[in-house]
Amino acid sequence: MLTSYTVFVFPAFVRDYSDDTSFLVEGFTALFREKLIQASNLVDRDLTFFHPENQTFLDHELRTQYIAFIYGCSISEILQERGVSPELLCGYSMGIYAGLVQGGAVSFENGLLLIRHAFQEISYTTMTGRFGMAGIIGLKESDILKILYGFPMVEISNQNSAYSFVLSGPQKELEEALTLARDEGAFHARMLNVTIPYHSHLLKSAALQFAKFVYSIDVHSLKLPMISVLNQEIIHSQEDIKTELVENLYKHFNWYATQQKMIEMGMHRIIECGPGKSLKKNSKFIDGNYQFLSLEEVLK
Amino acid sequence: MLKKPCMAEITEKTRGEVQKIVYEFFADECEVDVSEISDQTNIIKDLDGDSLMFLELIEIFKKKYNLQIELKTIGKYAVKHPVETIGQLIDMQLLIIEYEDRILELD
Repeated sequence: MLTSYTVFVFPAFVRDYSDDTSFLVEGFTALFREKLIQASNLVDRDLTFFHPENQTFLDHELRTQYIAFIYGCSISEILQERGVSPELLCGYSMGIYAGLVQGGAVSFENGLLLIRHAFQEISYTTMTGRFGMAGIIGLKESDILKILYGFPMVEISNQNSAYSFVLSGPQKELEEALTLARDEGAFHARMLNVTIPYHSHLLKSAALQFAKFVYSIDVHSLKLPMISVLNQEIIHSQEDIKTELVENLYKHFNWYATQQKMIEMGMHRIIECGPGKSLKKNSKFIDGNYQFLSLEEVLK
Repeated sequence: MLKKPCMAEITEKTRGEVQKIVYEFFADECEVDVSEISDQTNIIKDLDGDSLMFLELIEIFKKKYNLQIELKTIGKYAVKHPVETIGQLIDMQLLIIEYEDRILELD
């Protein structure tokens, strides 16, 4: 059992930079720009045009993933330079790639290539239809499952808290399910700004194609343990990591259960290695002796 | 007119308590001074509030007043009676405390 108390959590992709205070931390901007240029040379020349207020850029699903990844790696590196080291790592959804880089399992370059390959395979698989994800707040899981009975292609892809769920599936069916959710008393039932049904069975064939790339690159055992958001087990070996990378595309995850497990493990300090506070907001529905902090809050 | 069997009595003290909790909650969540909040403050436009905050606040009141009401009942009521300002939110919260699960019968 782990006895120490800090976990670094890496978000998936972020479109809202209004809460970002990382640029106030000395050294962050230079490191972020350095990594941005490195990434730009490898996967997408336009990455250097990133600006937190450039909405066109933020509406690009792949680029927002790259930026969240670069942010996560930069924040984690700055923290460790200042003597803040984690005892556990956790990647929220596609945040797994930054977590694996920080745990020494894959290189920064391979992290970027994993993101690109996953996105390419998913894009091929979903190009024949219109898909998406949706958020529902205010209903219990049992209420949502009753609604989804009429929409077999739609599924719960993540639970963020006791009354906060994410759905994935074909866009039209999602929209119809959201209408029923509102009628049922959901406070919030809206489509998310993504066109890919992450963490759903619809991506299984893409995941199998992605596996070919995963098994072709250098993957090392993690230097630090990582908790799986899929099953809340500890990932460590090369085989665990490869399996997790592939399954992470098409299996449901449970952020609520993962947070509870981390707190049970004694993680009293949860640091969100990203520009926003979205994960921190969800944590408020979990009791326990812990703090959820941003980079700036840690280094205050 | 709905009769009020076994329902909580809303006193000035209760109203004051609810108002204090709501003001302090939004001041803390939205990182503004409590003096900047009034009953006319718009929760979304002025405070950038969201449904997670609403949910969190309801959980606070459910615990404090030991309320027996399902969230979806509040959601159904809120669809018919949308809340935009802090004052409207306080009024709705007082109705929830007073009527609990019977709040839908008010319509």
